[in-house]
Amino acid sequence: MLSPRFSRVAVTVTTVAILVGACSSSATTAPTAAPPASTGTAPSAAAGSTAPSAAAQPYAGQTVVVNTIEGQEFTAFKDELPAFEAQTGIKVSYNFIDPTTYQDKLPIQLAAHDSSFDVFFIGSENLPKYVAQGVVEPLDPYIQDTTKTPASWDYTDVLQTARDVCTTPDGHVYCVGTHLGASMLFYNKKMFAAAGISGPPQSTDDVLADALKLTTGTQSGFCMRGDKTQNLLDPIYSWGYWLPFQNKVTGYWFDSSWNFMLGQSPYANQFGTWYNQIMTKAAPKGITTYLFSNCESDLEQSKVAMWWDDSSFVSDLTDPTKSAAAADLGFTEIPCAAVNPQCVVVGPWAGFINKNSTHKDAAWQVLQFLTGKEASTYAVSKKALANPVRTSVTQDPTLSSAYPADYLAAVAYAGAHGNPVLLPFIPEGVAIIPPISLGLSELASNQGSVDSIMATMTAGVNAIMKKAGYPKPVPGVSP
Amino acid sequence: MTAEQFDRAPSVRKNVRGALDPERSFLALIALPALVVMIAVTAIPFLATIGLAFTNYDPLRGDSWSIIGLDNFTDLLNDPNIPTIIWTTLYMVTAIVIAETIVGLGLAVLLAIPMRGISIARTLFLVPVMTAGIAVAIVWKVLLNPDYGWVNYFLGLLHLPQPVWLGDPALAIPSVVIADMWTGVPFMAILLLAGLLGVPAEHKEAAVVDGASARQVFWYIEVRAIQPILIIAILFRTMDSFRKFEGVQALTGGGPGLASQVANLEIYQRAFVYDQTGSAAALSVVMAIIIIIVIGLMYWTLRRLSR
Repeated sequence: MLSPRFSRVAVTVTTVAILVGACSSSATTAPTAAPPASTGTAPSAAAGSTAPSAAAQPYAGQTVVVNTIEGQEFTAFKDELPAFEAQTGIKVSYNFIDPTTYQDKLPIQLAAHDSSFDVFFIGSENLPKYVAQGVVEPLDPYIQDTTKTPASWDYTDVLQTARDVCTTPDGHVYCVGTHLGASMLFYNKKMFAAAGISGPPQSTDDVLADALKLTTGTQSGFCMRGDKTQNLLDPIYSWGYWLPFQNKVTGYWFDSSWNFMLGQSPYANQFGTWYNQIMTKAAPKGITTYLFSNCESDLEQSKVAMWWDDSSFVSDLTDPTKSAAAADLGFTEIPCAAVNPQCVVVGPWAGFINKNSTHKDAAWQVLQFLTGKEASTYAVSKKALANPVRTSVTQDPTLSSAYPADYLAAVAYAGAHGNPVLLPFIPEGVAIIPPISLGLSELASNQGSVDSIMATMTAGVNAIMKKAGYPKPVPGVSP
Repeated sequence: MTAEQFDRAPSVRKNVRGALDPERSFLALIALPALVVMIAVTAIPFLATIGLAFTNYDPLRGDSWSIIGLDNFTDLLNDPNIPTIIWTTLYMVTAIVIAETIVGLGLAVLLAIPMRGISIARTLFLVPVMTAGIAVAIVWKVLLNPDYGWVNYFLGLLHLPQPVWLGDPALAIPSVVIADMWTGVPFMAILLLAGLLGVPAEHKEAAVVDGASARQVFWYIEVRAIQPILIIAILFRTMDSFRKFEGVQALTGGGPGLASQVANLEIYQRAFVYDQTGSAAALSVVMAIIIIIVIGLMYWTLRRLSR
């Protein structure tokens, strides 16, 4: 029989342990409810029309589940769904998921052949991985089938770059772009003028020089994501100014003999020195823990003068209700250096159909609608889509009235000098990230000489590639 | 078996009567759901992890995985980052356990002093324990921000150095420990408080009558009395610290460089970010062995010290 004292202690210990166990487990986020509906009026495909006949609604009664991140573009697209549902009879369950949770959860769902969702949106750089896994549905049969795709949904209207990133080297299309994320430099014109700098930088050397000049005791000249979980994207955006573009499979990552370009001389030292200098001498203190949100916040509060990141942030940055510096911000693409005319990395977001979907035809109807001209034009009109991928939308006056002229000029430059290979178009594209991220983090925190860090980074990438069997013949790469 | 044989077979009789004992049956019944859950969520995944450690399975390979023997373990041995990661993990766990035990014990002594409103104070100390680790980490990330964090603000008021807490390789783990103490210290304090409140007042009074000082009463009466709970608390905290993930992920992401790259974060990244499931499983197995050894050594040492 247990003594009363022992029982008391045991009960207390157990209760506390259970409480701790229950409360300290990782917070998992269920798909969140949709945000409040926009107050705007969505153009209605079916508005004013009579109810479509059953023959016109071959997918009536089916429910298509769409998963995406919380983003203003996707919120705007959602406004139009009631009209689509009325016209087609398809019910759309549209789930917004927190970005961090989504990036973690989606690969697991796909790998587990989860059929609980039909359509999903994510960066198109994930395509090689998904194709290797066999978890996404090829879309070219749907696009070519006139019974499933009307001529009015014109795929050739999508920018060539956005089509390229959704097409595998064997010619199959696996996704349709929604908007084009491109590398872009945001800068504070007022801070530049105060520092006596007449205009935006014209080269990476200018970026470093200006950043150093703009750095004072109360402000920093430059910001890039430095947290190890996000620190790769922004340097990828800058590499095109040092590394020559190779091909549509490896971009500037590997040459035709599968040498890691960034590890080659003189690129390794040139980029490594630049990155080390700008992150340690011109970036905010604690830059190695900076997420995009920290850089965005600092730019909006005029704590940093430049931020090199994705063009998609323009809507927030130019919104005076969110950005105290909205009126002072400028947008530019640094002109490409001679080494690489395709220096601006573009990474379109795109919609995919889950291979395990049980409603693929209905899912295609939903994907068509969400990537169509009407949905994009509406989102632009709501200032929720700054970088549409449809040519007809980019030429629409709605866009030029919604966004600053220098931003649109930068987007046009990105389109003309775009490099669609955000990550190498091989299954190992993601696997090589760890040694690179680690090296960047070490460069940003002065944990060794540039040469030794770059050498370790290169050795890490080479080891992964060697284990995966490279060099080996890959269409579009090997000589 | 005849009734006579039954009576002559004491072990059989004892077993059967034990099984039929209503109290024991009841205890077994209420333990059954926990046992089933434990098998489902712990034992089976653990065995699966061990199995995966000997394969090259990753989501990219899909159905074409194969058994590769000890290759994943060999790769770990050849990975120059693994010793650093294990060392960082042990450093973090040691710092957390020592700091939280000392501060927690002191806090428990304070909370054990009978005074007006002490019950409210004890209840308030439960709040950090009930707060999600990820929320705590995010709050601390703001507090430790070198530009606008409160920690550096107050250090500035005192004219003390204002370090870059999370961005300095030397301070990354200490920052994680400080953030963890916010929840870990109340946890230790509450456990130890339960023990202190169970120490009979007569023992302390008798020691005082015999001329013992306050320090001697604390050390020879109270600490001795709560030793079993202290051991349990330290072991709990050690195991929990080895599991630490979300705090490090949210605070530093394992950086800068490898400065705060602990084993759980490395395992998570290998498995779910870089699709190296087999490698992640192998590292999990290695860490499980290390944890078993560490906990075993600690248990043995603490038991010896408590005698």
